[in-house]
Amino acid sequence: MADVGTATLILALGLAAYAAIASGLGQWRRVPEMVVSGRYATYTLPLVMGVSIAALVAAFVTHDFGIRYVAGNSNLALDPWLTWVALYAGNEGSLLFIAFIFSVLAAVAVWKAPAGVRPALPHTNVVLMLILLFYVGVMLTMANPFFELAAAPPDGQGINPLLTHPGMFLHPPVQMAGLIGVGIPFAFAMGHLMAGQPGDDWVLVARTWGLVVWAVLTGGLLLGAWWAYTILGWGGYWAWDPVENGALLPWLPMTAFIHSVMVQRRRGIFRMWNVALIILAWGFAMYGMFMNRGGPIPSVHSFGQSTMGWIFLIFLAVNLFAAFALFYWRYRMLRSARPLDSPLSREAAFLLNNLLFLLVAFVTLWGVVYPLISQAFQGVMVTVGRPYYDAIAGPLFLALVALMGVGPLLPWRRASRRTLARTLRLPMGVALAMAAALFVLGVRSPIPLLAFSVCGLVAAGILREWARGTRARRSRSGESYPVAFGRLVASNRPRYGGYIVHLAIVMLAFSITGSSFYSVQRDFSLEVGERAALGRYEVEYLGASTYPGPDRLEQRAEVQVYRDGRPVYRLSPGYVFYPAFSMAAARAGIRSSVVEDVYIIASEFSDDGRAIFRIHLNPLVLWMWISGPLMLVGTVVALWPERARVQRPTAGRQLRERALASRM
Amino acid sequence: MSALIIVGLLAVFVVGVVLTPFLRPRRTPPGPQPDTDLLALVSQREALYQAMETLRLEHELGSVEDVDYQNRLQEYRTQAALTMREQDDLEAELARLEDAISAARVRQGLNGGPRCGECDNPVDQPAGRCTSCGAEWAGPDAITTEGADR
Repeated sequence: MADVGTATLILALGLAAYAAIASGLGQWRRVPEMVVSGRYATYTLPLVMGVSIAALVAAFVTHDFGIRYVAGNSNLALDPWLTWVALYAGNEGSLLFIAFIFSVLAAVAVWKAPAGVRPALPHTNVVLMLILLFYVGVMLTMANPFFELAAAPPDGQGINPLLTHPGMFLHPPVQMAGLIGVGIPFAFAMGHLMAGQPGDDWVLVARTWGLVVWAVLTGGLLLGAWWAYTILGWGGYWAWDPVENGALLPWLPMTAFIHSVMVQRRRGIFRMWNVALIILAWGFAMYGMFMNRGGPIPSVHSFGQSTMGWIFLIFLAVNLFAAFALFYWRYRMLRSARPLDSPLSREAAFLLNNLLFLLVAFVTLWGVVYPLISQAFQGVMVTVGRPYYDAIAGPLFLALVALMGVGPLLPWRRASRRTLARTLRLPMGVALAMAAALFVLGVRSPIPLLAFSVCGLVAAGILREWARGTRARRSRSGESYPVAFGRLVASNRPRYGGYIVHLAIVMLAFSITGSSFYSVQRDFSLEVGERAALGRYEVEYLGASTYPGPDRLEQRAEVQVYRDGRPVYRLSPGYVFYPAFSMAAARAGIRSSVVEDVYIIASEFSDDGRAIFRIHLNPLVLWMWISGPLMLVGTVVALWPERARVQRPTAGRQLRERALASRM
Repeated sequence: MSALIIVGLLAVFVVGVVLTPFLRPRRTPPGPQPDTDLLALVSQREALYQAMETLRLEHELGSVEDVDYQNRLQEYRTQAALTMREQDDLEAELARLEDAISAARVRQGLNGGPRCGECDNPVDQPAGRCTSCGAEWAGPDAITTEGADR
């Protein structure tokens, strides 16, 4: 299997190099056969990379411990279903996975490129293949997943216990697919610049890919938060860890990009913004790779043994230099077709949107790099923690959520103050009513009060748009309300799909506000039969059991939870100890409801029969997990293709068709 | 050994795929590449249609006042008409250019002469086989040729 794997990687390297050269040279020398050949090489790469991945999977399944990667990430006791996780658990395997995913995305992107970007497609293919060339080259020279040991051990080391959580089946592959997927819209942008093709056609295909990649990145972030919440045992879901920030960073300009391209498409402005945003998104995605593979700041998420960060840093620098050089070269082509009509317009809202997202990105980046700067200049690594991000990024995110409520209500070009006031009346009213009600109910802290009110404003604005649109359509067509609403969405999919996503973001903001400001936790030391109280709940310790396994020792406590004095359910918090890794992984006992989560960790079992529990009450966390699927639904609606407009033949087209017919 | 066979077969397959554009006979002359200016105009027209639909929706939702709506709609219609006229003019010009190129090729004998019925490459052989694709060719009288009436 090692021979097959290495040979297919070499074949992939050759194919990617050929595809880049053939596409570029063929376009330059106007040899269409070469351009087509380059494209065909791109189409064959998923097959070649697929065989490579299949070879690694086969090596795991057959326990081929002669391959270093297999020995380091599996053992004879590995459950077969964990083979999928083991595939990308380590540095080398994850690189192979990333290269495979990118080869598939690149092939689909080239195959399905619309007519409008065909003139620039050879250039786009060059960029795509150079990216793939880098990853395959790194694998062959520095991180070969098929590297063979001098002598095969009788058993492997096993998989990192933290990766055996169900969340690990999805979070890493989704996150990695999202990060590398940013390369697709980036390649279309660079292809457009290299070709010097006039027009804004590239933004259509870039928007489609941008939305797909954004959805995948969002899914990766939410899945990672869920994994952290359920397995790391600290009761939270986001720690502003450097690698977490590395995953958030490309998401920020990507979110700005998918909004800003609408302005370019509609009005022919923001061209420079969009190119800059996609370059930044790609740069940040590569930065995330750098942080994850031997970056200078340790993280629970990193491939800790990797020292390859420097090569990713160089790749990042080369990409940014080349991209901004192209930007400068085509500066004139990127000038806006017209100025902004009015500061009170949807375009102006998108401009503010871009600025805020960039601001958050740079605040986050500063928090990530400051420890390095402090070490370089002061000799001591000053860590940047949650208070910094809460103080600075928090208000910026709140401003973004508020803009999300106001922006879609603004028309294109310009809004009059009167119509704007009329449009905002209901959402503002709801926000104020919500603030008053929450104040009466005991929410006195200004920040959560403001945050909840903003969520109310946004949700009310969205529902108002839906109601008015449905009523307007119904008055024209006489349809029933459900049919009118369905057809309203179907006839404006990008707009209404966007509203669904915005509603999901409101849920996310609602959840983050509740859990950030109103979580409570307390530690208790309990004997068997003893109870502890927290809020409306009481927790009774019933006893503990030990479950030895071939590679682990698991201890679980059994607790009975009471609410308002009545027994409601049992939970089984505990932890698993993995001797081979000298590592313990928590197994939190969690019961979720729409109001709050009861989250219990059993952190210590002493010989005298006592156990130490940490009990959290985390309000509104469930809404975060619900928002994920809703965002996916909204993205699918926004992306669903609309019916092609029927083109009536123009006079010129008729003349041309007659001329063609006369030659036959 | 089996690994080498697998990889060898894969390599032969992908190399075959990659070389296909150089090996296959050209059946028909390549069609004209989409003109980039024309594509830009089509794209511009689509964007204007979308803008008009969005404006209508915004007017229905009460975000745009009546006077503003009428003014902007008229503006979009004017821009769309200008774009369509530009598109028409460009398409007519492209058609005229293609006619002129075709006529020049006929005068220079590049299009003239018999053509193979299978691959449409020019042939000047007596009845026999086409030298490009090997198809049977029944002679100059059997095929209608371009430029044959010059």
